[in-house]
Amino acid sequence: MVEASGFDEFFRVEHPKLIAFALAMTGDRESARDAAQEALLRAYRAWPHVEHLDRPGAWVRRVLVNLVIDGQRRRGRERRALGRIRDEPTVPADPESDRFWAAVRTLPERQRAAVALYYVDDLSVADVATVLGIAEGTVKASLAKARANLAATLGLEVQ
Amino acid sequence: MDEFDDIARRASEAVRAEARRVADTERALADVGRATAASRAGRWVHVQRPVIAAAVLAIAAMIATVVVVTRDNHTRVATAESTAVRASTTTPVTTASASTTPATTSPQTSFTTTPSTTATSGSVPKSAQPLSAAWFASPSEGWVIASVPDTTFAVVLHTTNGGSRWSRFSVTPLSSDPNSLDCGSTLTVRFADATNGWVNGCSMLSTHDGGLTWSPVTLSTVGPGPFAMDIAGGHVYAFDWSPDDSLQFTVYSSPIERDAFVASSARLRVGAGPVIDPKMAVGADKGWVIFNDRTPTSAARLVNGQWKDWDPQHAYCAGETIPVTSRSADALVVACTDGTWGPATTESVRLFLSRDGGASFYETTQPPGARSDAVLSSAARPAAGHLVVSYTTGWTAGNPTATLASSDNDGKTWIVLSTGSAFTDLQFLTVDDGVARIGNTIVVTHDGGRSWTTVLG
Repeated sequence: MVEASGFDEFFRVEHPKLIAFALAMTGDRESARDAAQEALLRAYRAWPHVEHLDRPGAWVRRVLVNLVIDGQRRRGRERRALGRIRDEPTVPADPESDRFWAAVRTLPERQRAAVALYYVDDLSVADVATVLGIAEGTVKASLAKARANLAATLGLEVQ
Repeated sequence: MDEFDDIARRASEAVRAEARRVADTERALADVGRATAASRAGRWVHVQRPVIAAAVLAIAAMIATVVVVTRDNHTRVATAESTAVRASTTTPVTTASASTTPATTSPQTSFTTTPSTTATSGSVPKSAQPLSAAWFASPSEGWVIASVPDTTFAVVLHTTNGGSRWSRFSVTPLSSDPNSLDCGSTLTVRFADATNGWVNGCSMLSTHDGGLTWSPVTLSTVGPGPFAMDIAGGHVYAFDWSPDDSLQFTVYSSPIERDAFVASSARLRVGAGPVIDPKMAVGADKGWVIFNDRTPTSAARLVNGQWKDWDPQHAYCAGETIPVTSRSADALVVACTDGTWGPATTESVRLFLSRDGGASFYETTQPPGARSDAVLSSAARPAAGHLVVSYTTGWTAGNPTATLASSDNDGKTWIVLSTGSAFTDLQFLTVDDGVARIGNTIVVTHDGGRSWTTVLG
């Protein structure tokens, strides 16, 4: 995980990465954009402190993970409250990508976050553990379970 | 690389490419973000001054004739009948939320709704959208922050009859852009009486003249507004960065009649992240705040007028944890979603009760169905012995179902009040009288949560 110096540089480096992570998690462009902006806004708000952290990038990702998960729970509740049960994914990508991320979004939250951080954000297992605040072994277990679940859903072979 | 990894890599690159396109279309976002953050960092009033000035002039002209000075020196602004945001007579209409989830073996919450607010004046919107939970000082008198779509104003609405009718309370719009008030933190309104009130979101504002004027409240040098705010026992409490510029937080206190905030000696540490998610509960002369960085990392409590560091170690959960108390603060309840983080394979809702201010706890029985794959939405303590909890189960199975349960014996046994509607921001003033949110509506109950009436939204 490359750590930027100064908020401007931090923003430039992290903005597209945070959107990518949120896109993978939500499948919704607007939600992803809002979540990434909110995470960066919180980083800006706390920047005098955040910039002195060892891992500002981990900090903002942790904020983003919470925002996305909380948002999905809230939207899930709201959809239910409103009787709207149809998701409206807006990430076009391609059919293969659509199918993959739709399957990811059926995973439990921790597995979903681990997959998005590991594959989309290209973080190491250690970095995923730092962001999620869990042990490396738990990350490995989450990724293994996710792979197994996804392979079953997608009809893939996992070595 | 196996087939799975190959597809995962390609799918990830597709998402990254899409993200780059989104980011490219928002190249100006950095400037907007900085400007927005700067305005939220204390310059909000300055930036909005022209808009506010114009709005104040227009609204002042509109309502100047209806300023009522109450006999106890409380200046209150009452809008005219024609401009009141008004809920009509209760009609037995079932809301969508109540009808979309069929009741199983549990009783279905019965709903009535006082449908869309109406107004006869062209300058007053036909409906108001709540932006915050409602705050009730009594079963009849309450306040809520709402957007007024026709004018795009965010204002404080006021009711004196339990939500049957809402009137615009604040003369000055809190914002010409309702979204600017909410930067992700919980938008909160509190009123100690008809004169002294506070709103908190991206910024904290206070009024000490019944909503005639609002002033920004700045506590720390970092950031614009506190992360949590509440009132009780003649004081307003706010949770914000500590004043000594360390990576710590504290609780600031002020008497309600003026802004004279003083930082306490309590210091709440950030976690490894940190994620800033403080939860506060106050009642009478007691208070508790738990700092969540995914899981509780530190806490403080109000004892003898002083906030002190506190360790609720016997009420620990590996997930978001919130303190709950009654208005009289007869006891402390710590409610949480356990197992969100850490090695647990499932989440569950747990409650711990303390009768000695948080020194010791015992765990209640878990509400029905909350033992596995359950996430806490909200909890309230209406009075001694009574608990009301809202939670959702079935997330992993992809079939989330909301449940509202209550106990009248401090959690020894529970009854399910309803399923199907996810209640948040539960508040009870008595065993029977409560208010909550369902989605973007404000609902009230007068029978302990068995039936609810929509009063706004």
